[in-house]
Amino acid sequence: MEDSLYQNRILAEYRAPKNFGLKDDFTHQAKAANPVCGDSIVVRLKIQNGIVREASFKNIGCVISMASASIFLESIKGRAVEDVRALGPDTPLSLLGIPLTLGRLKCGILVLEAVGKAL
Amino acid sequence: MERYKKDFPIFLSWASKGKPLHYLDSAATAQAPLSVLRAVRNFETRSRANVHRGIYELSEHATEAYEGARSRTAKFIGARFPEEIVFTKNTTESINLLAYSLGKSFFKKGDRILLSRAEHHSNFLPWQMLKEEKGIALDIVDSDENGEISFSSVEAALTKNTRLAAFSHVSHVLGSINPIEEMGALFRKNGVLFVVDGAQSIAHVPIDVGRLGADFFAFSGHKLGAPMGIGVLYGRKEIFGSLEPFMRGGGMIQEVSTEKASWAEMPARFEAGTPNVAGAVGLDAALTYIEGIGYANIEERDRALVYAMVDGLSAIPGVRVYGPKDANTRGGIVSFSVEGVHPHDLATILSRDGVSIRAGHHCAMPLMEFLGVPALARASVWVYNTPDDIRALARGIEHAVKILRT
Repeated sequence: MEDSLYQNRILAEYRAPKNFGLKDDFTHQAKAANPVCGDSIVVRLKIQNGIVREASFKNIGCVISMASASIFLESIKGRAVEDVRALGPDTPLSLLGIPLTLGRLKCGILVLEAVGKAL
Repeated sequence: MERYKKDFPIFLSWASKGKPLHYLDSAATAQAPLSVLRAVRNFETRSRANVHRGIYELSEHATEAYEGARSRTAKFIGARFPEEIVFTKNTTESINLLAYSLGKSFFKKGDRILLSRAEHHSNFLPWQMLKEEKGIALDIVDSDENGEISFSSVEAALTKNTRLAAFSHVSHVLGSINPIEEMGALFRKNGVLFVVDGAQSIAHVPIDVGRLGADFFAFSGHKLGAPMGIGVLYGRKEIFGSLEPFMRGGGMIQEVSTEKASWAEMPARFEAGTPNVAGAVGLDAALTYIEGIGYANIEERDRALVYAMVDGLSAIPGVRVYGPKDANTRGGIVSFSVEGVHPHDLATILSRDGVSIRAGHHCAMPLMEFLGVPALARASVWVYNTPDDIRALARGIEHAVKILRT
């Protein structure tokens, strides 16, 4: 039986994250950290004409935060900055699509916090 | 169920749900034995009233219970007088109280405070506050590669301007037991006030503040089976009695006019407002419980479990155990990392099998930086733990590795 949290889909993102490794070509950058566990993420975005053209990240974190960063950043590429700014925690959490306990929620939304700061 | 485990209702309640609890986070909070829960309930249902105020019978009962807990605590840690025991909320409040009060009248600009890098933030940030507010310098002693603070490094860090030293008795991350007695003698000889953070030692090793040479000793009740919200600050009367109060309000005054006020003697001076009487009663019962078991017995159990843990974990490929290798110099705590497995993921996977461990930076960011890791996993034991708990931990780690690696 497949693990409800550590599903193959999530583990695949963790093992081969998309947009991992900071790109030199960027316009916006921000860092977010989870003081509870010491995890951190740096996000770089390239914005052109109000559109997110490129996104990359580097982090120290668990499976959940890695997978979330991979999936979420991929999802905002090509979208209007205005729209991305309006996104709440539900977006990365529903993209993850796994049941997170209260103690792990922050792992799932750290990338959103970094993107919010960058914008 | 095992001898001591059955004294703690939480294990019975989990077992009856068919999911045995392997609780390995006692360094954060120990479980409470039934005798403590009963004592608190008896107080609340039979003697609840405010203390030191009422003349009626109920208030006198409550006052007797509260002051009885103080006397018992004093005796338990070898204090000479009951009034050397001040009840607080927890270790954090104890150390903040002390730093604030010392900052008011004791320290002057240019004084130095000696600390270790391994301190919990609660024995670091209150002193860092004095650095910012009073122009006091902090000298930081590092631990060696085994996580142990050597006496010689402490000796070497001492300066003629050092006026206070604050060290944990047992490290909450590395589990190492610091050479407190030698340090106490050194500090006493050099006229340095010695503050000992006993949060991680009180439940594991017998405390005699005189023998340790501690001028102040702080601990939390919840780490030895008492309720949360009751803590202790022991202070040697000669110094403690001369300090300014931390909080002002009811119960801590001598005389008050609209212009000025004078303070009560200790301990009342440091206990403004209605105290946590039920908590003190619970603490009293927790100390009784520990006396029933005996520290020799606790230490023996600790050693066996820590030995099994260090051994069992080290045998798993990719697991790195931090801190002293010798179980005799550890106080019931083992921190470790698993290559390729983040501590959070590990804790989540373990939790499904009822294994509770701590994962994170453990409120010791300067130490984490030194060790070069963002986070560690920590397993800690107390009287109720058994070899079966350790086996469940090892099984869980192997399971997590299977899920997450490759």
